[in-house]
Amino acid sequence: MLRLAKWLVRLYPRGWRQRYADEMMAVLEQHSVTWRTLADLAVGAIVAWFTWERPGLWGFRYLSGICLVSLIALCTYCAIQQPMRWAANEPQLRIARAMAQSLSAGLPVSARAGGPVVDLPSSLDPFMIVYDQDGRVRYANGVLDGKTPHLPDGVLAYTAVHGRDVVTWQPEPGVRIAAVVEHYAGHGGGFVLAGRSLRVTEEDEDALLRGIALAWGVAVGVFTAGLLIWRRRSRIASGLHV
Amino acid sequence: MREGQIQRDQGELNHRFSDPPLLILISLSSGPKHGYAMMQDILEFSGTQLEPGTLYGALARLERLGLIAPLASEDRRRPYRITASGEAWLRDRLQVLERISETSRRRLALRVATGGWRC
Repeated sequence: MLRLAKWLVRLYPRGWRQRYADEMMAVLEQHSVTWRTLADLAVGAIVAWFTWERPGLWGFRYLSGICLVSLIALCTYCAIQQPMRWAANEPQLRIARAMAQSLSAGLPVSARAGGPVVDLPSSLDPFMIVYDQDGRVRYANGVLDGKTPHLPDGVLAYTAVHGRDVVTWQPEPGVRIAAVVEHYAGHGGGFVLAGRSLRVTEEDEDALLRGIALAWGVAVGVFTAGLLIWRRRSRIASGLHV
Repeated sequence: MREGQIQRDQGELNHRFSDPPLLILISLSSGPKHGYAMMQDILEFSGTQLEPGTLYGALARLERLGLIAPLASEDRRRPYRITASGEAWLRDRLQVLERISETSRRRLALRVATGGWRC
C-alpha cells in the first residue's frame, strides 16, 4: 500500500512534487495507508494538475475542457447513432430469417419471394437475393444498372462459418445497403441476403452529426468565454478566498 | 434504516462537511507543526482524519494565499506557521461560525421550549 501511495505522489505536477513530495513522503511513512489514502492521493493529483500555478496552467485547463466537451459530444453521437444504425438492420434480419427458415424447411424460393423489382440506387424498399451453396444467384429482386449486384468476396464464406453476417454493402459509390446474410440448409444449402438502402438512415445520421457539431461549437464557445472570464477575474482578484 | 448504518452515514456526513483549510489554521494557531503532527492534532480536536492528499492540497492553497508560511525543513519534515493574514482570516471565520452556532442553539432551544415547530 505504501509503495502504491508513493507511486501516486509521482502523478502530481513536477513543480508541486519539487515543493511538497519529500515532506509528503515523510507523512506517508508515518501514516496508516488505506484505500482511502490512495483515492485521496489520486484525487489530489488531479486537483493539483488543475490548480498548481505554473506556466501553461490556463492552456492545460483549456485543452482539458475542450477534450472533455469533445468526448461528451462523441459519446452522445455514438449513443444515438449506433442504435439508429442497428435499427436499420431489423427488417432485413426478419426477412432473411423467415426466408432461410422457409428454404431450410424444403419450401421453394417462390413460396416467399416474388416481390417487385427494386432499383438499388433509387428505391428505399427491401430486396432479397438467394444464393446456392456455391454462391450462384438463384433468385434476386434487387438490381443495379439492370443486373444483380455482385456481393464482395468473403461475405458468403463468413456466413457459411458463422451462420449469419450483418454488413454495410456498397455495390457502387453512393449506394449503401444495410444487408443481412443468413445461411439455409434445404435445397442443397445456400444463403439468403436481405438488403435495404441506408439513404434515409444516413440522412438522419448526417442531421444528428450537424446537431451534435452545433452543440459542440456552442459548448466550446461558452467554455472558452467562461474560462477567459475566470482567468481575468483571478488575475485581478485581491482579497482572500480559501 | 438500521442504527449502525445511520451512525456510519452521519460519520460520513461529518467528514464531508469538514473544512481542511479551517482545521489546518486552527491547528497551526497553537504553534508551528509539520504535516503529520497537524493530521494527529486535527484528529484529536475534531475527530477528522485528514488524508495526506487533502492535507497537502489545502497546505498548498493556504501557502499560495499567504495564510501560512513554511519554516526551515527538519530532515524531510517541514513545519508551517500561521501568518498574520491567516490569523485575521481565522478570526473572521470563527466569528461567522460562532454566529451560526449561537443561532442554531437559540433555535433548537426555542423548539424544545415550544414542543415543536413554530411556523
